[in-house]
Amino acid sequence: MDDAERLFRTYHGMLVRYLTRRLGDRDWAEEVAQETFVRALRQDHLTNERAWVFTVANNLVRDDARRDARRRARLALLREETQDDVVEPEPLSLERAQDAALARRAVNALAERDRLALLMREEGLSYEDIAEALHLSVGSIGTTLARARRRLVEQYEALREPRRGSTGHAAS
Amino acid sequence: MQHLDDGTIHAWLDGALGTGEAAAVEAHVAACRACADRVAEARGLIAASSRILTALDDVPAHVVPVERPAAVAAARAAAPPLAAVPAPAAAAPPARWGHRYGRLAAAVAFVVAGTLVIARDANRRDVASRREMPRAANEQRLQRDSTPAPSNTPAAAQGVAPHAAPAPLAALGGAAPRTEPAPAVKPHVKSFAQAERQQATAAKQSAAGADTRVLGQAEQAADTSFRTTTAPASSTLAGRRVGEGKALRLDALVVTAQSTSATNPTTSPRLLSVDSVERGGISVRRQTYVIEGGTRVVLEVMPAGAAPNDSAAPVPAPVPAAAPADSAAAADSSSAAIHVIRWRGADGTRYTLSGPVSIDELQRVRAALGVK
Repeated sequence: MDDAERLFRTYHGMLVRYLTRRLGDRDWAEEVAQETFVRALRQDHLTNERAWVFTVANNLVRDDARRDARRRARLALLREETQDDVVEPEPLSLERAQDAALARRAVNALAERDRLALLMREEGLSYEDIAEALHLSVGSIGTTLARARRRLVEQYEALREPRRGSTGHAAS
Repeated sequence: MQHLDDGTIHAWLDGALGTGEAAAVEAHVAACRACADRVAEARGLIAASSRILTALDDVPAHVVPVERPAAVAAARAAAPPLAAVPAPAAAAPPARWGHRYGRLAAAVAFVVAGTLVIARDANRRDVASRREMPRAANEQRLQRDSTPAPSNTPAAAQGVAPHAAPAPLAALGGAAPRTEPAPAVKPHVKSFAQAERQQATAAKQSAAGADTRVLGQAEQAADTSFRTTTAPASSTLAGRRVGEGKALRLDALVVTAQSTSATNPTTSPRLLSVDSVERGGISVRRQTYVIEGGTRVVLEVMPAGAAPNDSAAPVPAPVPAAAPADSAAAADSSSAAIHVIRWRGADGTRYTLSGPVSIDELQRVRAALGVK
């Protein structure tokens, strides 16, 4: 197994999942991951692969977001216009779709740094890796994660409450 | 010692503290009720946040990574090394659109995309014509078919016609109180209400057949049954994407090449998801693939060193537990069309491939995956 294959096998899954969770768009996540690996293969040596991969992916997302904001808006418009011709994506169950939507809103409510730290930690990155990828001190990661987790759960619960209320009302 | 701050508690729970500091925290938590309560709360937050983030994985998409080491290696050997590819200028943005290699890839894939679209259209017509066909005709087909699905249930009656939809779809079609056939021109568009109703039906069926299910998880079975109803979506969307000029990825190119290969008639399975599951305390890698017709099959991979002995089977399902290497076993062909094959790789890695298709089809999938 050469370096390229090892790199891909080791990080592709976690990187795509991280990016998908972050972006809410698996296609975009795939593209960013692909570009990340292309860049990684151009490197002669990576001292901390894991942190490097996530750092580059973060930078690509940031650059993409800046550059493609208008382009994506236009594509979204086009997609809506041609909706009749497009096969719908695989539908989720109602409950799962609602959960996903709530989770997305809760995650988006986090500060950028907190969100990225939390998503990277979920992919198993060490505090050192996260600190390196986000240019933070290692000592601050625990606090960052504690804050991120608490806010995420609070946000999620807050978003769920109206739903529960309306469900209860409908039932009664 | 002062009370612990949240950052320290989370770092401790995450195993990010040094030995000395961790011991100090542990001692404090043992002695301080208030901090012990906060640790408990932090554990809850960690678990809850993980669960919430897991929900973010429910993102529909049709372009998924295909992890095919052999194919990738072959493509890499045939293609010039990446270092030889002229890199864009350092200041240039990442070439996701309009890169000349992307255009080349799009051009190559356009041909395949056209094939996919044509094939899909043909499939649609086939589906449409089948739907208009009286059930009796389907049952006649069934009698000619050797698929080991039960023939005495409505599900089977609709499900095993030649080139028909995968078994889970058939199961849905047979059990759901569908009063009229879905419109053939847009078979994939469903409202949430329809989706939920169908999944509930599928879940009910899964529960009824729990003793014969191989996959082991009701949710997964229901999900599989449900999702396969949208089988042709991926090929169509992939075709559209290529048509839109989107840069095609290397692994997608590999799949394209293999799917058109004369030596590999089976449509290349697409890797849909990868996760880990616990099998008797052993972490097993689970890869879900979509094969021809949208059917999902699950490949579980247990590394060579993971199994303490031969009796540790990666699938805790009603499959013969100590299946010998390279064996095939039908889970229960009398009431479920899910089959399983198992084999052991040269390096001792154990593989279990299961899905609602025949043993032969599983073997073809295995061959297509290139897993020896």
